[in-house]
Amino acid sequence: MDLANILTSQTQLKIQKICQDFWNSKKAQLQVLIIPTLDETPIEQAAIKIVEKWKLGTEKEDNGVLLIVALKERKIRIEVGQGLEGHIPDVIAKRIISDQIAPFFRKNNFSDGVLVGVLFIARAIDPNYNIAVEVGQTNRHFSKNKRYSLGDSALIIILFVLFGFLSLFSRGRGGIWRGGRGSSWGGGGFGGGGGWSGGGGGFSGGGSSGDW
Amino acid sequence: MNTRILASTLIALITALFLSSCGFQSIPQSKNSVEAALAEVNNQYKRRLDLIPNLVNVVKGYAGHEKETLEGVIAARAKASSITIDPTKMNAEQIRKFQGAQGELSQALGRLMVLTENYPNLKADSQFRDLQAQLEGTENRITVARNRYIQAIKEFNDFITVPPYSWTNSLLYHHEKMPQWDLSADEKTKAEKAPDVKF
Repeated sequence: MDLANILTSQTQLKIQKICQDFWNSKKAQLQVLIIPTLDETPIEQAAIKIVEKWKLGTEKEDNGVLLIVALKERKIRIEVGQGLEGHIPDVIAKRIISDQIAPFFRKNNFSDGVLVGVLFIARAIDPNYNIAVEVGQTNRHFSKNKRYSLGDSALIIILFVLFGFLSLFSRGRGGIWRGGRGSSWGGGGFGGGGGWSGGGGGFSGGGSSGDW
Repeated sequence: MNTRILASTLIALITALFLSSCGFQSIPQSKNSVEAALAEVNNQYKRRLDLIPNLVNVVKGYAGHEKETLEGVIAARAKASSITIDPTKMNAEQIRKFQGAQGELSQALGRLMVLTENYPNLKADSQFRDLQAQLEGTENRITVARNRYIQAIKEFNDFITVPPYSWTNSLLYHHEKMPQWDLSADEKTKAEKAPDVKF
């Protein structure tokens, strides 16, 4: 969910695909949130509130994970559900932020930074996950497989729209988030992350924060 | 005879309904939640204790002559380790002592981390960076666990002080209000965590 409108639509589709893949294969509920500002709230506090409100992850597996970026404060956090702490211990989360995401952000390349972050989180959960990704300036290839084809995009757009419709009908099922202190991102009323909810897994505050 | 049986059955049913809707189950459940929350707080503080020996060793490798600060951390850790709490036998005095010891450890750690700012090679050391990430993660976990504990206590206190559950409490359980986790101790450590760095 890009509230700051900073990601290219191509990036958004790609991220959506990765998140969906993981949701469908029941490995994790991975969500991304980009906000213009935290409005004085520490990012750790914001993150835990969000994952609880969005009810990320299933109750049984505690497999939610949130990547949150606050543009004004230049802060990044990966909040990891209890069930994923083995795959994404604090140290790994820290490294993803400082070694993978931050370098792109410093060059004002937010799309690639977030995409790389999501990809590394996905890879931490499932090292065998493969997806063709081309990242701008450094021309990194994460998979030697086929390139992103037009057929794939069409399917993803359709799924995206479908989930969009579903989220309209499934209000209140864990997708709505009214939090914050009356600030711009606390206004609420929008579906959280595409209208799916695992029912809410456990988060003990694990993960890592960083900045750029 | 029949009406009497009917009447007593009815009364029994109503009583059962009354009890179940008036905190008969909720109050013990809430008490259990408080104990579980405290156990989790304890758990996360212990996690922090476990990280410290490695941290001290790595810092020693680069800043071994900073004896005062390092020994301060070691001593504070020893003290914190020695004060344990049993979540099932919660005692306000014991909890206060526990909090105090952990607070002192937080301060000692704070001083250590500020000191490391003067040692760029230490800061660049990958093992140190990893430990720092783990420590930050643990401190956050402590915060989350503590907040949940405070919430659990509040819910319990609400149950036993607000009618109609409070009536069930007076009739059956006779629980006392639990003391709230005193945040002022934590606030104090935050304020003291940022001494001036002398160059």
